[in-house]
Amino acid sequence: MSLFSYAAAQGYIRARLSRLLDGPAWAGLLQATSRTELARLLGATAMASAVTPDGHIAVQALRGEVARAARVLIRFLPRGSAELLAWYSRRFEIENLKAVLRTVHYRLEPSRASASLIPIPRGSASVRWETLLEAGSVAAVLEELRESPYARPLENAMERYQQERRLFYLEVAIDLFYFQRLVRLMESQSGREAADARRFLGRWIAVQNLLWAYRYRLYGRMTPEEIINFTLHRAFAVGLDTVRRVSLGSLLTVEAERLGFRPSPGLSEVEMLTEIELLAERERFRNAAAAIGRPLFQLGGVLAYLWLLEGEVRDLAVIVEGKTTGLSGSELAGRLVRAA
Amino acid sequence: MSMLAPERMLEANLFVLEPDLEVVTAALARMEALHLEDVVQEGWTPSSEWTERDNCYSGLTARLGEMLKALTGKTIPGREAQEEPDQDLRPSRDWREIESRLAAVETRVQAWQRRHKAASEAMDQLKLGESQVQLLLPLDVPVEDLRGLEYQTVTLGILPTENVKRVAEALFQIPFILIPLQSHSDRTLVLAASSTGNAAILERALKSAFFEPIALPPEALGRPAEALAALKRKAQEIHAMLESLDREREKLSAELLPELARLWSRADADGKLAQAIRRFPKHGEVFLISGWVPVSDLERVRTAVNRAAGHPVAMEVLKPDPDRQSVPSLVRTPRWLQPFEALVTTFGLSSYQELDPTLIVTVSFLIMYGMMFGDLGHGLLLLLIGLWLRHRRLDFGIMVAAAGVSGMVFGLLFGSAFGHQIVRAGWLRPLEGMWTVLITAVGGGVVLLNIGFVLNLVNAWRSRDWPRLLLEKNGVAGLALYWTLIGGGLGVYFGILPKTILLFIPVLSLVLWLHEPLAKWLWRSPSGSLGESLVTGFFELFETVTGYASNSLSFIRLGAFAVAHEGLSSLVVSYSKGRWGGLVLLLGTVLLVGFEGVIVGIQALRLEYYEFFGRFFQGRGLPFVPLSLHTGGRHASVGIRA
Repeated sequence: MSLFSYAAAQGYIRARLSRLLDGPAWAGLLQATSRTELARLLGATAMASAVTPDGHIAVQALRGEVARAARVLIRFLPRGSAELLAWYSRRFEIENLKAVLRTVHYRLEPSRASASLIPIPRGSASVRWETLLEAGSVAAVLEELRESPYARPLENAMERYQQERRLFYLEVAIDLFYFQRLVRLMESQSGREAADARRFLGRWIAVQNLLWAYRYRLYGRMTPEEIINFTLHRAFAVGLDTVRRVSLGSLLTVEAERLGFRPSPGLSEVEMLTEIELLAERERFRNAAAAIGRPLFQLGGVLAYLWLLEGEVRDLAVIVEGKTTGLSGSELAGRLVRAA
Repeated sequence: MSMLAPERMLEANLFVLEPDLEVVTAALARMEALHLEDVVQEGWTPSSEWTERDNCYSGLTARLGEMLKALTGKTIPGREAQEEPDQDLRPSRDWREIESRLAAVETRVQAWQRRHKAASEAMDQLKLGESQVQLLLPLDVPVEDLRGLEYQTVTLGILPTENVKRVAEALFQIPFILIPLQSHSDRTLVLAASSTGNAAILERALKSAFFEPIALPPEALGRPAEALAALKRKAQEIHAMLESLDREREKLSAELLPELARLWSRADADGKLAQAIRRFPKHGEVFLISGWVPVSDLERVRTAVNRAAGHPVAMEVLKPDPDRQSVPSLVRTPRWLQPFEALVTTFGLSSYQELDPTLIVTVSFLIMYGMMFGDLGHGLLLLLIGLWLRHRRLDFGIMVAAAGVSGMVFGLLFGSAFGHQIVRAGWLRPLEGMWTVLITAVGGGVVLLNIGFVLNLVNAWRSRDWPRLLLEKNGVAGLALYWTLIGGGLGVYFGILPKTILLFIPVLSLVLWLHEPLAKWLWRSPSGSLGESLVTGFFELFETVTGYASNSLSFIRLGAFAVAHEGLSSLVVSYSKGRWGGLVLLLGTVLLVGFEGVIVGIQALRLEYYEFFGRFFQGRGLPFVPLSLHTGGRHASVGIRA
């Protein structure tokens, strides 16, 4: 039965793969001399939907396309995998939720903030963003969210937020809630699905956990007990033991090497953190590209496709931003996840 | 025709001097005949003063809602308490009076609210304190001793349950005690302790796990059992206080509610005017009120506006240009037809240039339903169910009852009552005249499809859409091809018509295939490239021809269901002759009326929406929503589709 489900998913993926941009298209985008030219080039590709009539490139619209693709694929998958993928895809919703909280906390203009939201397909979002953006306070946002799964973790963190007026506590509460549930769902898989989930998502979660721990130590100057409370205790290769070592001062090079990353020598730990982030994204993209070449009638194939899409959108965002700040094509190429 | 077509509209632009603005707007709102339109014109800008006034009324309504909620539990007064807005509405003046009266009410209600809140909070604290002290009962140590420990830090509070273990993990560097005392839902009451030297680490670990400390109530003194008794006594006092506060609220409510309801009604009506006026662009001392007025209301509007201003108001009346403007659609459905409006509105609202198909859909739906559900007895049951639903104030009861009557009529035609052939068939018995029923069903479908064609021609004519009228699949060319294929085909087969008539088929097919390039050539209609038009046109032609056949044959289900209904009814009758016969008959009838009744309704709707509407109806109309002092307006209240 699951073979048939995956056959449908693979059929969809194979049909959509041709829409990914090829090498020459990326080379053209990197060499574009202005945003106008970039928009023109992009308008001639399958990403044309991101180019608005006034020549603006709406990267969030493309992220919405990724969310939409995930939603389509969820329909094809067997129940257990579909549940996992559906939860994994909630991170688009979580990004939107964080954007809403920032808008309300800093009292930004809702109409402008709505442009930064990912257009999640109707029916997959459990919250109404327009209503949330108009909420007068973070407490009002929580009130609107009371029927959503995010209500409980946010309520837990609310008192601390109200005492210190720092969004960090709300954001960390949502992240922990999301990743803990993701880990639980991964652990509930069996057989090849479990192996795929571990191979693709497990490593991603481990890297995220390590990066969090270092960010809290390096940027937040947090104490060990705070670092431990704000990270995952079960995150595959980076569990409680690793987090404890990090919280007590273990060097980033040592912990990164344990995960197989070799950052450039001579960098400060802060610079190294940024580099590891890019290395991890590249590794993720590389693994996805390698996996998609094989006929994978299981969860890995679906995740690989979604990661390729995400990688594409990420690189495009880097190019759009880079062109705005005047970076050259070669400088930008070094910041992409795909091989230059 | 007026029953079939939306009301004709005119665009009215009223140029109103500032002193007349409020009375004129109030007069328009009372008439409920103007659908406002936002106008962008150079040099004309909305007034910021009225934006502020609108915000002021929003605030006033919200504050009034809060007062009402405090007294009645609802933010708006009950319908019986609401007052009709008086004749002299002036938002620029009224807000001061509303504000001052509201402030007086607020002072009294808020004083009560403060006392009630303080008592409720004290009660919550005491309850919490009771549950905490109860946990300390086994200690048998004076509570105050726990507060004053010198070498230990002891803290009591609530943790998210999932974080209890996390805190324990986070405290890996120090000796500590963490005792979960009581779990409720997803929160756990914990007692945490460490040496005073490690208090800061303990506090950080707890705080970063979103710990909420609880202080033991000051009333808790002595050994836990004594403290608990003291807390219970205090709780009884506060309970009595809360009861007295409730009685006070009832008195306040009786005294203040009439005034609050009156203020709310006035603020709501004034607020609606302010909300409308903030949209009007202003130039110097003149405001422009622009909108759509039904032709039949125009003179009434003119008279009312002039009377309100006390002198003639400059009014420009323009004919609509539906190609460039979004003209709202107002269909004045007769009262007897209103229960059936949902058959159309579920699909969409007819646009300004479209004919409203409610009447035709009602008639055809009932005929189709009756044919598929033809049984005197089953129809009677449906009629009774419909009347009962109507009695329960459910509007669709009338539709169910009408479907029942239609089923009864066809029951007489089919000679069937509860599956028995106890009446003489007025027409035929479906099981005996199966072919006749099936052919009649398809014939009826062909008639309905042709009505659809004709309605499309009228819609296209009304909107001056010549390509749609002449060249497209539901236009003249399509209708001609449909009849050449069906009528011509049958005529040639039976030798009534000459074979040469079939020569029209390739000619008409060619017109349909090339409709886009032809429309571009004749009327400069927008279209894609020639190659693209030829390719898509070819496939559309293929789909159109197969569609003619499948759409017509789709109606065969009417006959098939008629036959099936009689067959199933006979089956129930034949099995209802034994010991359990009565039960079988009852269950069978319930199943037939309930289950088949719904399926038949879905089938009839499917034929309406897919086969019939597909020919002519788009249903993308903009509803006519007039400026009104009432939420929903009279158009909603009397069922006129708005």
